[in-house]
Amino acid sequence: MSATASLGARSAKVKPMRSLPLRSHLMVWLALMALLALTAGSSFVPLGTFNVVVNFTIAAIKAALVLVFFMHVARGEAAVRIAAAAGLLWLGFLFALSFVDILARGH
Amino acid sequence: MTTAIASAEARPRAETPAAAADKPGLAATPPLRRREMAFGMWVFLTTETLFFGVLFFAYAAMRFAHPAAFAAASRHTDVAMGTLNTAVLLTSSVTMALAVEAAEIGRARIAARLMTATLALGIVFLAIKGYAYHREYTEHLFPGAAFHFAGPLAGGAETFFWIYFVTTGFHALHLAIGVGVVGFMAWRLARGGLAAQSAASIVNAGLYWHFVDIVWIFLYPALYLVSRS
Repeated sequence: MSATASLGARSAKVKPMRSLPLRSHLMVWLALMALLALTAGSSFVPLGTFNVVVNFTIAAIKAALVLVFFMHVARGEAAVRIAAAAGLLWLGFLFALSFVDILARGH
Repeated sequence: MTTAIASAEARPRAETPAAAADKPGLAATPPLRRREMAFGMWVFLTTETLFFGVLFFAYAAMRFAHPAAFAAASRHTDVAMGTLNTAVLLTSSVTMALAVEAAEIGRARIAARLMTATLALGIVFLAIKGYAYHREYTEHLFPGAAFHFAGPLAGGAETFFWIYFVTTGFHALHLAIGVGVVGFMAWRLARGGLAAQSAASIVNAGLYWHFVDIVWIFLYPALYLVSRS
């Protein structure tokens, strides 16, 4: 049994590599830095409510880049994806139900 | 510089005895065990998502209740240091991701170096954060008896700074734990190669590190960019 064959579930799906994927990681880094510059820059432009939309949309894109390219969530097993989705689902419940409570009280 | 690592160092070492010695370590974690480890880490990160989720909810609810005070208070955070720290942490995620890739292909020494770079960036982040805390403390922005914020928005501003210190404090605690874990693994890797420090554990350390990075990705606009225009 070769060393690459015994690497395990995640790596078995990846093409066996003999060197580091520097180029792809450099591209992701550049994308993250560009998004950081965009979100920081856009905050100084008066866009009203749109500022907060832009900022959190960019944050979600950055998080998605990290999840996909560094945490390999899409490449992971079903159980891993279910665990990740469960976290987001319950976070959604937490926000939705708690906000309903706050809005219903009407301050 | 990084390209030089891959071409000049990684490739020729492929069939040397040092690399061969790493291979038993790679094979030491059976596929089923690896799956269990990855799943366990993701379940842990799910609980962490809800832990920070509660704090983010507190933030959202309080910002909803005190929009003007949150805007005014956020302008007192140091946006330059916050932005610099975001860049530092995002970069540390790249070096950590590369460390995981290096461990996966049996490059123990390169993985150890990349993990050292990762923890160094983590320490830089904590140092900048510590300096920011110090400045905020001297500016009487730390909630409590000494808190001082001019104008009628002081109450909401103090709430903002409560959330600011609790969320960034818990984030810094998580990052400090990450620095310890990555440092310990890098040390074992440098001493005994992948036979001493399994690649599967490094994958999990990487998942944790990236999670802590994602928490900051959302803290940054929430705390520093509320109202800059």
